[in-house]
Amino acid sequence: MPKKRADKRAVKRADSTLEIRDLNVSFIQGEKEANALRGISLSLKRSEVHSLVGESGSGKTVTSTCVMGLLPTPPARINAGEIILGDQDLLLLEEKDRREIRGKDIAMVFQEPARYLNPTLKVGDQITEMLILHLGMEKTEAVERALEILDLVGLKGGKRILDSYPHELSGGMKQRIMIAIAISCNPSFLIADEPTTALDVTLQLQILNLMLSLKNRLDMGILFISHDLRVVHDISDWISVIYAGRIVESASRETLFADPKHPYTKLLFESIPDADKRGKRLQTIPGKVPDAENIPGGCAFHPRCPIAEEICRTSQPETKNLGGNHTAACHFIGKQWKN
Amino acid sequence: MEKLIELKNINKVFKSHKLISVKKDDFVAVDNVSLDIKKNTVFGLVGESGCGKTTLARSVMFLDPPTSGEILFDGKDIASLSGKELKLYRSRMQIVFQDPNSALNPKMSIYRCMKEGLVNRRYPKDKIDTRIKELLDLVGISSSYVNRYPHEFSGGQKQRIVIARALSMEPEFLVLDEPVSNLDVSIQAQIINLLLDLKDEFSLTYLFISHDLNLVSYLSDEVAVMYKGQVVETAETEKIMKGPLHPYTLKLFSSAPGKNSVELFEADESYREGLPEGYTYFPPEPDSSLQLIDIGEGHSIGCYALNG
Amino acid sequence: MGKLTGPMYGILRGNMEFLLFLFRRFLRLLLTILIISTIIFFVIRVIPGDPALVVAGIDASDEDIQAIRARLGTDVPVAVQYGRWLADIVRFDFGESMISGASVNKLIMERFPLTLTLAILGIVLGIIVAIPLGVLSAVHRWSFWDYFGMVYSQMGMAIPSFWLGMILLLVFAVKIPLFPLFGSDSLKNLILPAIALGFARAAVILRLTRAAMVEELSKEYIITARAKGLTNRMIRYKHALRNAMIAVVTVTGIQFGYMLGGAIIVEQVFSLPGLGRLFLYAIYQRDFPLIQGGVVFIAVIFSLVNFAVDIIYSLLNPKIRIS
Ligand SMILES: Nc1ncnc2c1ncn2[C@@H]1O[C@H](COP(=O)(O)OP(=O)(O)OP(=O)(O)O)[C@@H](O)[C@H]1O
Ligand SMILES: Nc1ncnc2c1ncn2[C@@H]1O[C@H](COP(=O)(O)OP(=O)(O)O)[C@@H](O)[C@H]1O
Ligand code: SF4
Ligand SMILES: [Mg+2]
Ligand SMILES: [Mg+2]
Repeated sequence: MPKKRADKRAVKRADSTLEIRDLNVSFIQGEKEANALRGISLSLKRSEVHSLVGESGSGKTVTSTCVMGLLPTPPARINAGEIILGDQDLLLLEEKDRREIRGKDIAMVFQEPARYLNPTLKVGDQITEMLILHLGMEKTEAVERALEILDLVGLKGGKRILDSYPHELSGGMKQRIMIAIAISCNPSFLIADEPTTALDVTLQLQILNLMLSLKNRLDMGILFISHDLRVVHDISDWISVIYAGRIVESASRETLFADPKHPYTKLLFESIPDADKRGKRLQTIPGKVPDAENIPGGCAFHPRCPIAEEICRTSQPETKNLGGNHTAACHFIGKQWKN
Repeated sequence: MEKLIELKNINKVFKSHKLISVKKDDFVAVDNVSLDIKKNTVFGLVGESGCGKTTLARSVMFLDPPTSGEILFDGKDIASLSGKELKLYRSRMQIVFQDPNSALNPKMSIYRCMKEGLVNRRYPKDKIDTRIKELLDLVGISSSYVNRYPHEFSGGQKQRIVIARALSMEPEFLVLDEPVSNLDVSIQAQIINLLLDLKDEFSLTYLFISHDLNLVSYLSDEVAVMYKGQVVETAETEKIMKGPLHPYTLKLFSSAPGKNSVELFEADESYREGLPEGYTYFPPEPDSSLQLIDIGEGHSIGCYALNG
Repeated sequence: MGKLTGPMYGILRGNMEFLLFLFRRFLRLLLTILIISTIIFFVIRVIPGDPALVVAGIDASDEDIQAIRARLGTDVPVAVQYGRWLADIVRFDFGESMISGASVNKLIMERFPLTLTLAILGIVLGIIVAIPLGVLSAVHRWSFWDYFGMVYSQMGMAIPSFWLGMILLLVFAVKIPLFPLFGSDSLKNLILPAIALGFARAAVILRLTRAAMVEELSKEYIITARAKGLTNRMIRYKHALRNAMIAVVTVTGIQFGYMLGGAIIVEQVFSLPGLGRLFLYAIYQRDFPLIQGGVVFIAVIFSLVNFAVDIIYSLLNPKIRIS
């Protein structure tokens, strides 16, 4: 028995990319259909941070839970798309094989550590159960390893921490525990869904810092989800901006910050307050993010776009490659406007 | 400029209420805070979660009177006011919280919710409807929505309604406790612009609480940095942004996102930037008390006197 | 011995806090008993009918009645009676039965073991049925087991235990004589009454188990467990059930308290000489000392059960606020 399990450790895949292709997901509620993802494509390389940025309801969490295979179907329905890891399409796998991948090859960190940790289980058990299950470790070996992982995520206090319950730890410590759980089996890819949103600024930076150093040490690819462009600025290699279930612009960090092309991205930058804009009015984006149930036809952004024309109401813009894999989906890329 | 609010040595202690308690756990949430807020300015209050920002704000509003210290509003000590006068003073200051959902009663239409406040302050009955319309117009909510209920509005719209309700009291002073933290990035800008417009239009004074340094440095005239219940540095915004001194301020500023670096500033014991002779940033004894000393032009830093 | 784990660890770690917690709960227990004793004292005083008259019979002389009043202690002002009553309770002395003359304590203690055994048997049977069925219903919602559980809990709530008891007797003692019709000396005698008693309680526990499991399974930490690639079995039994048990234990404890009450009726149906029968006769015969003693006794047992539930609850739930 232990032998068969121990084998699992040997077959560690060395997949170098995780690719999401044209993912389309709806939620069916009675008569209504909410089209949450309308053709999302993303590619995540190992040892790279790819950030997915968008406002609430734009489809970030649906994307990440879909990649993890955690979407409840129903109400969710995957209409189209592929999620390719190595040479297989995860969407075609049996639940059993999918489960083998979860936690071991692709792991996830959630927004609110307080709610995403089991309140009645010691954090030690919450870490070791994965090592025992996925890597076939014995309990004592798993505890040893858990102590090493605590060290990796910068939690001093070893055994004492393993023996505590989540509510005995502070918010920042809980998020470190979530990260410890996620990286425990050395996954190739980590999906972090707004891991710092529930934390305040100094803790936020510490967690970002930690994620970066772990990425380098463990050679992981990180899909970092956030609603704030500034937060991802310091850690991303690549950034994709999502609006109403579609990627509207995707570029390397430098390019996106220096030369955003899509009107939505530009407006987002201009609406962020900072000291340089003192005394000036902030640029605003009129209206609000549409619900997945009522996505405007044509370009979903047209009711709020300052340069929208007739064609934007009727036809959805193609995603164009602007060179160097910088892509944007707009009929009038680069067009200027006056406030 | 004239001062609207003066806080003098405000303390707020939460006593433990256990009958039999193992250890004494009184908690000092606000520790000897003194601040002046000038008329028609924005005073920013920053600090990490739990440092006492909301507690201080509630003390200033007299929602939870401070344990000790003086609050002068327009030169008048609030604690000395009788119940009736206090009520009058209270309507001159209003507070807007982070979460508009908990501020609005889900069972009350917007109309009733706005009317309640106006009736309370004896606004002429025949003018109430027009006034509600005016107020909603002011914050950009179409007055055709007055009969809707809170759940029919988005987060940003709800926050506008909360602001309109606060304005219906015709306050001079508004405490804004993280009013945009729960809102989407694209909506935040709308609310901030609105707040700045209203400030100019009605000569309002704001105490603006946030842990978003970029936001505070954008809109406030003066800033105070709070740490564990104490003010550790305060100055005009431009001054403090250019030359922050206190090690905690530096740490906080280094944590603001968007600077290409993910390093937190951590000062070592030898750090003493900006300090006059005979002072240190680090408590020499565990029970040394922090002093806020003025190092010129209204820039004050919190530090400890060496040898007494 | 190996290292301490689980609740014991918690107890030792928060030793002082935990003792204080016990102490507070104990004070509460005493307070409850005091309140109930007071209520029962005054309720009995306002029930029409002078107990002395009942005891003395219709054609007793005035002197006889006075003598009986003196014996019962009802010849002094109510305040004095109340004082004596409290003093008696502190000593746990409820006097003697007006009818048989035996000490109330002795009468109760003779009958209590049978009722307690019956209640324990009932709750054990209830738990054996309810918890697994509740978990199955929650895990496989809208499956056969779920419908079965729903039908069962409807029936459990609707069918009165005395009726069920009679049916059980009729079927399993008369028609198919698997169990004895009378008697109370072997465990076999108690099986049918325990089923009659546990049936309805199991329905309540089942409903709660299902609801608690459904709620736990919808919490966020379950998503984490799934994201870790855990098997369904681990997710359900290691993660969800553990949390669901916190609520289940509390309700089971309360149900156990109810069971002592329910025993009164079931004992009647099965002619078991338990506490129930004792108290029922005490009421028929207006045996006031026995009634008073009986109510206080049940209140004490009820409070003790609650006390035990509180402790188990705090052991299961590491988050409990000790205050
Ligand atoms: N009613 C209370 N009883 C006891 N302690 C309290 C009470 N209210 C607040 N505190 C404590 O006082 C401290 C300051 O709380 P406060 O709400 O003012 O923080 P804050 O700076 O507004 O934080 P945040 O940024 O998270 O809103 C905290 O440690 C809090 O736990
Ligand atoms: N379980 C669900 N049922 C119906 N609609 C859902 C569900 N989960 C998400 N949605 C919808 O999908 C859209 C995207 O949601 P989500 O991915 O959670 O956004 P976010 O970008 O804030 O993470 C939203 O419009 C939301 O209303
Ligand atoms: S396609 Fe039209 S509406 Fe959409 S972003 Fe471009 S210009 Fe604006
Ligand atoms: Mg989300
Ligand atoms: Mg606060």
